[in-house]
Amino acid sequence: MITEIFTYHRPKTIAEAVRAMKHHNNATVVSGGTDLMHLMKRRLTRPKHLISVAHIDEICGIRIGPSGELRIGAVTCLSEIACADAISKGWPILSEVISHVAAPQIRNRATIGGNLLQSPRCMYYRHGDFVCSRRGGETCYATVPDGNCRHHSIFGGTGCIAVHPSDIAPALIAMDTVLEVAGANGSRIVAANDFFKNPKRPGFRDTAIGPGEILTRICIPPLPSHSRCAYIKSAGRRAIDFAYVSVAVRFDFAGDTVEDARVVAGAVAPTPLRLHDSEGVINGCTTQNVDIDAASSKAVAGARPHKNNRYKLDLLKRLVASAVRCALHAS
Amino acid sequence: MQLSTRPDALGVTVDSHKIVGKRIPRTDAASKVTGSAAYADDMVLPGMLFGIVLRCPHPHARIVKIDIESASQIPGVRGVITCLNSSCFDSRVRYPGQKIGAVVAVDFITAERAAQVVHVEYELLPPVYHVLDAIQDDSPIVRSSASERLNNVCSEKRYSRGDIERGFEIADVIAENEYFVPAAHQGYMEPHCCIAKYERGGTLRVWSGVQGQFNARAELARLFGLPLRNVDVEAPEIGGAFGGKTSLILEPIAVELSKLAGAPVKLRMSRREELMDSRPGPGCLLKVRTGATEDGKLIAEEADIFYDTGASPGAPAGNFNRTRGLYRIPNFRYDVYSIFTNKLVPGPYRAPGALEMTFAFESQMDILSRRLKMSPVEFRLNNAVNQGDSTVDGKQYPSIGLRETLKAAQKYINNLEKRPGLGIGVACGKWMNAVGASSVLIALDEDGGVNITTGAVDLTGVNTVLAQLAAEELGIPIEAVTVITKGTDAAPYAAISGGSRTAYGMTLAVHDGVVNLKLKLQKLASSLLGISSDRVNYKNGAVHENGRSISLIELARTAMSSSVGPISVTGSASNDTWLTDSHIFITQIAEASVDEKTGSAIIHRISSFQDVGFAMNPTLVEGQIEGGIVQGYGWGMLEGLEYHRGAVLNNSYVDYKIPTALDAPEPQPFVIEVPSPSGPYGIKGVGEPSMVAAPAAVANALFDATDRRVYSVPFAKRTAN
Repeated sequence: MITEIFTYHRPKTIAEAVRAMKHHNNATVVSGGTDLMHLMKRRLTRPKHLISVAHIDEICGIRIGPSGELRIGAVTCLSEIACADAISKGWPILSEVISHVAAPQIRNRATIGGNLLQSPRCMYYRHGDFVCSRRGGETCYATVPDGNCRHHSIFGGTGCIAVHPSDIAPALIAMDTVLEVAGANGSRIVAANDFFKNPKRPGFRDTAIGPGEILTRICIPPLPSHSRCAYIKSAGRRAIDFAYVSVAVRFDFAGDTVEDARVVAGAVAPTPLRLHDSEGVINGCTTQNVDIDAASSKAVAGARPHKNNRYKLDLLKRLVASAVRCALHAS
Repeated sequence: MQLSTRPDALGVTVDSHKIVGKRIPRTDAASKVTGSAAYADDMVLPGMLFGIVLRCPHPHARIVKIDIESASQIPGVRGVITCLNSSCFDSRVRYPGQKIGAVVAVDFITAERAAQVVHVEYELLPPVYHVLDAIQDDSPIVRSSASERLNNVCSEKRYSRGDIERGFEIADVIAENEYFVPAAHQGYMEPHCCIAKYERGGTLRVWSGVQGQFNARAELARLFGLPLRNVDVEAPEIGGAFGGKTSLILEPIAVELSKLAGAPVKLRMSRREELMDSRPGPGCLLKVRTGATEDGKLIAEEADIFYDTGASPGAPAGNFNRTRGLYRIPNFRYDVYSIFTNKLVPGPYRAPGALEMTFAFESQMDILSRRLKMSPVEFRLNNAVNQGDSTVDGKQYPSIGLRETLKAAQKYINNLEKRPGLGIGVACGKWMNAVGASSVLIALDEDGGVNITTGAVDLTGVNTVLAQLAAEELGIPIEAVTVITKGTDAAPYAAISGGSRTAYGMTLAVHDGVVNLKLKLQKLASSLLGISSDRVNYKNGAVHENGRSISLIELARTAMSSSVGPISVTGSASNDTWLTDSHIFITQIAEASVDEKTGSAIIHRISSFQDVGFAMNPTLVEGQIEGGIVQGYGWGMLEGLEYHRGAVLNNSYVDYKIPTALDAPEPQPFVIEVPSPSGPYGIKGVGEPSMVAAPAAVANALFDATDRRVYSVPFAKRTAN
């Protein structure tokens, strides 16, 4: 139950929203609210001001930019993106990925910006009774000897080892997506690959968004015509569930040769993780001579699993192999 | 699908069925799907106040001090109760989430705000979480032990027969394994909610979605020292229960708050509270050793079974005889322990005790059949009990259908298309239902309409079934019968709706009432005709005598103006001991494969071959079986409470994973009818058994598909081991 009183603001422009963020202490941006309401009900966050950006026309909807790039307003709801013709033609992997997010009712409400900015799903953090390191406490309960870290990072993390839960983020990184952020000093762009941060201390930010800034747009360059993508997710359920592990790949081909490979894993680290070693194995190979075993073995290079999430090693290897196979041989 | 033609039962010929055995829609279907059905939380009483429960975050502690000063001073707060002024609470706390007090206020938000500023000081005590730690000599003590040998024993019971050591000596193959099933929430859609109104002078009214109105009345009367007649309990519509609404969780607190505040008080649980502190099915650890001879006969079996009953008694350790006894085993020893730990208290969940037993023992059957190179069905048929064989506690089985369900399952397997990679798993299960003391009131309207008043809560469409029985027996259209559940002040006594007994016990009561009604009608008709009552006969909606007849409608009208007066009767049923009645057997088949891309298991279909005795309403029966399959699949594949130092970690439906429509296997009910000796038309309990064998069937199918055996539920849980 939300017991705190807060003021709900509904600015009509980004400029107004940025001003409101600057003007009010303890203000939080809200769009679909599917994550924030839960955090507020469990008193994990207690904002005094909610700045709703859901109704700002300039950051809502999908259009194709001058260089053929896809420009998605941050508050566009996921179901609208999944259904858009332009996307199923030019960036079909995005529609595919979105079909793995939650369930239709949530996709009607949740926005793409919110998906990228959602908080981790760690059961200790979300529980309510554990004041963990993310909540300003001293302990990351997932890492104590009797802790449950089944869903946590196998690639380290400092302070908090919860993984980033987004299904969409790995695919965006694979597609060289750029994110636009608006603030008091105007707007700036951040590569999706640099957007997610490994939290260092309590009160930390998980993303490159600074205080008072608002994520406004997601821009995906046009995919080369000889490009193939794949996305594979493993989760307990087939709907309304977060990944145990997910993998997005994108291969740009020159003839039969993979010229540029992107392999990005989700739910294995505090941020989505580009698997450069696996990419290195694949780059320059033809569809016939990619060493899939080597690519999948390299995926776990440097991994440091905990006692009850070792399963993620095999799972990550398997998903990388499956995703690579799909992208190599998909018609 | 119905596999058998119906044999005669109770002297009723098959041809005469017009309404029973038919697919009649539930009478409450429209109100539920249109949203007009009213649940406890829909109710608003004048002057009603709202309560919030205070909970302790520690696994084991003693309350040293409670400061309610600042909470009481918040405007709108009408009172705070704690262990200092209410017997609802204990000053010793034994699990995280245990209730330690409650606040009542003008609305939920005010009460919640007040709850946040109640300050409690605890003296922390050493906790124990695992059943095998709790029984050790040096374990912290949760409650005093019922055993002289072991610590923290809530109950222990042994079932044995023959010479177990000799049995294992003779055995050619022996399987010895350890199994684990975690506690699982029933997952009903409606969280607990109740309203209590205590009136000066000592009368109490409670509205709550409980499974047993009269049980709740008796318990509340006992707790508050009131005569039964002063307590009225009424269950509005109930949004699922599955055993989770058999015990009083909020009601006594609501009554205390109502007493304190002098107004009606509503309490309700959030989903978080539901998962942290309701009464889920229990966790259970089973160490089982089973031996068979090379000709495929079971010869010996022993097991040590440890239920985790958490901080108080609640685990269904006493249900062992309801759930086992499927095979002829000459030598056995089963020790069933219920152990206290610093965790939440479990309670009944759909066939309490059966699912965990079935998972372990039917995995053993699968392992042995493979070692013996026999088909899983053949091995089971080789050992299956039949009429006249002994139950686990030494009674003789009446007519039972285990063999019929196995044979039907074998036929199904024979016809399956065997695809590469497809695993098929077989498991059998058992349940046992009783009558439960029950009565109904049947009143005849002057236009011939039949009103049946029952005190049994309708969880599964049972009121529709009662209408079918009355209409069939009276030879009138089903539309002429109305069945209404009323509260304890208005309805005659009925046992709890649980244990798969409701349709069984309540149809017996209605049957008795209809017999009484017919007698009364015959008496009236004979006096109108001026002949003795043994010369008339009630049939097909009228009383007949030698070519003359008087219809039920005419008799109903005439009664009003005759010396007889309006016609009403009661019907009652009971049995002398609970749990002596109908024995229900099922065989379930799961079909599984592995998704090569992700390595995840896919359960395509689970088929249930269930002996229902007689399907009074096949649609409802199949609905129960389908629901049971999915629920059993959910517990086996995905669910289970996870704890950290006694606290439930997965306290939301994101982390507590109930299967979605995309996850659920195709549930396929096959109805088998081996009539029970005493149920009307031969019916047996239906609701619970369909759940019990699903995890075992899935585990066996996964082995068939992958050559890897799962010993621990839930199967989809990915761990390092």
